[in-house]
Amino acid sequence: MTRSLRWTRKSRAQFLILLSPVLMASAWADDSVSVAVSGFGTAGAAMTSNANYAYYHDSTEYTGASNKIDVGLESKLGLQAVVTFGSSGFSATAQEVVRERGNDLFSPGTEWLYAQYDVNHDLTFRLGRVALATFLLSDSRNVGYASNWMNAPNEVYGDEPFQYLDGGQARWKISAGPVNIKLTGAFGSTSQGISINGVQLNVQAKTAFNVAAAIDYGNMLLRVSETGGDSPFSLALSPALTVATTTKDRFSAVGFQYDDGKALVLSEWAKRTQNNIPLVNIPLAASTQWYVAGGWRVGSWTPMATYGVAKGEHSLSDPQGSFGTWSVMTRYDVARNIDLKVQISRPQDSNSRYFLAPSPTTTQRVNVLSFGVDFVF
Amino acid sequence: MNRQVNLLGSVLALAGLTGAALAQAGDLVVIMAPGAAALSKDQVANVYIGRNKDLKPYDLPESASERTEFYRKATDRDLSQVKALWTRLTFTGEGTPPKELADDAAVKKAVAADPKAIGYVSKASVDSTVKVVLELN
Repeated sequence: MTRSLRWTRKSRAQFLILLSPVLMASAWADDSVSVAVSGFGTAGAAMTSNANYAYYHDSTEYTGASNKIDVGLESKLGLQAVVTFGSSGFSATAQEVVRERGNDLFSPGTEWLYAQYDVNHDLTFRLGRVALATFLLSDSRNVGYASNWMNAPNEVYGDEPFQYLDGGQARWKISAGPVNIKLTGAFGSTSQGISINGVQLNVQAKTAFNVAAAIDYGNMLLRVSETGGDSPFSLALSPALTVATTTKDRFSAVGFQYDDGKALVLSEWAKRTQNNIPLVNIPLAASTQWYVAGGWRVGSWTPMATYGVAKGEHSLSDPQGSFGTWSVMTRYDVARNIDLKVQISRPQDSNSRYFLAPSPTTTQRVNVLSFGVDFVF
Repeated sequence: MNRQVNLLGSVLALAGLTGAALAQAGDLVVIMAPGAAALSKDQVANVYIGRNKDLKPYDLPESASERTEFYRKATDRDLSQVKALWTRLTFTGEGTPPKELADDAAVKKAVAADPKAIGYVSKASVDSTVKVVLELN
């Protein structure tokens, strides 16, 4: 598999997108316009203990890390520009992230690009591209410094191929004493290149949505969400036979977080449903997944452990049944704006959420090591 | 004998200095414009870790020991933990961290001028232009 570092016409277009809020700001001849530019990144690496199994995060990565150190999988660089138009309530945000996409080791892409209007303190509308927040931390998955683990659990986070919505989003906050309720709804379209069992295809959801309700009280947060996408696609099996269908994917997810500064508990549960896929006549991707994570802060160290399970509903998609995976990790806050992280997971070689080409017959444990430096600026 | 007295004196002086330093670091107050109601520790924490955006918080510089002290007492968190929380909010379009001002005088001035503004200063800096809404001991 060839991987390349490219500076293509696409790359230049991405940087123009990042600059667009800045250009808008300079066109707006007013002193009240402010521009804030910030960034984040991770310089990381991953490897497994077995040359036959390449570790990856999800189906948007076509290559993984096997028993040689791989720097592409865990490394990222993000830049964000936010332009605020005085006290008008209008602002514009662009976020570009360079990371592994498909076969490309370091490929730029637009994660966020939206115009925002704050009707008041509690009601906000966004138009443009927003991150698809299928799970609790989906919208900040690229931002290593914001989390305590090196990688969000693959069991849950690896199951959603789509990453953004091009459309609109409404956000409404209700405060009742010590309780805050946040309702969000997004609707739009999305597309994503994915690789499933070595078959690379571009999936497009012409209509996709995400609705979520999050309630926080003190150090506790509970979030429920429903996410869906209808993706028409056709697959030519032979010159005479083309299968055309629309997959209807739905994710129902519940997430819980507790963080009092010392103790940290995170848990999510998600159920994926799907319509019957032609030929096989079952909902191939239907599955249930969950994880529980706990950590304890000691000085600058935040050690954590997670246990995750993903279970396919049909033996065709999950021939070996489901097995749990333990991971241990720690974050060390080394300096202002910089942390170091290391994470070890022990999935079975049959686990398709961890390995590009899982074993169809064996169930041996494989060690997966990831480590890196996160920074913000 | 003389020597012993000196030694005792030095120990007492040292203890006194340490005590003074601790007292000074401990005497932090949260301030708003005159007329503001008192706040609880949780209410202040919610503003400074981005859960509540109704108020406009101001920070002292990262190098100021009062800043470390304030977050430890008000939010039970280290500066790096608070930074991680704000990093998530910043890069998901949820908000921007409190604006940094140079010193107590600058914070008092900003707070006195805006009924939505909130800040923290040493207790010794407080005067009639601002109101103490929470004492952090």
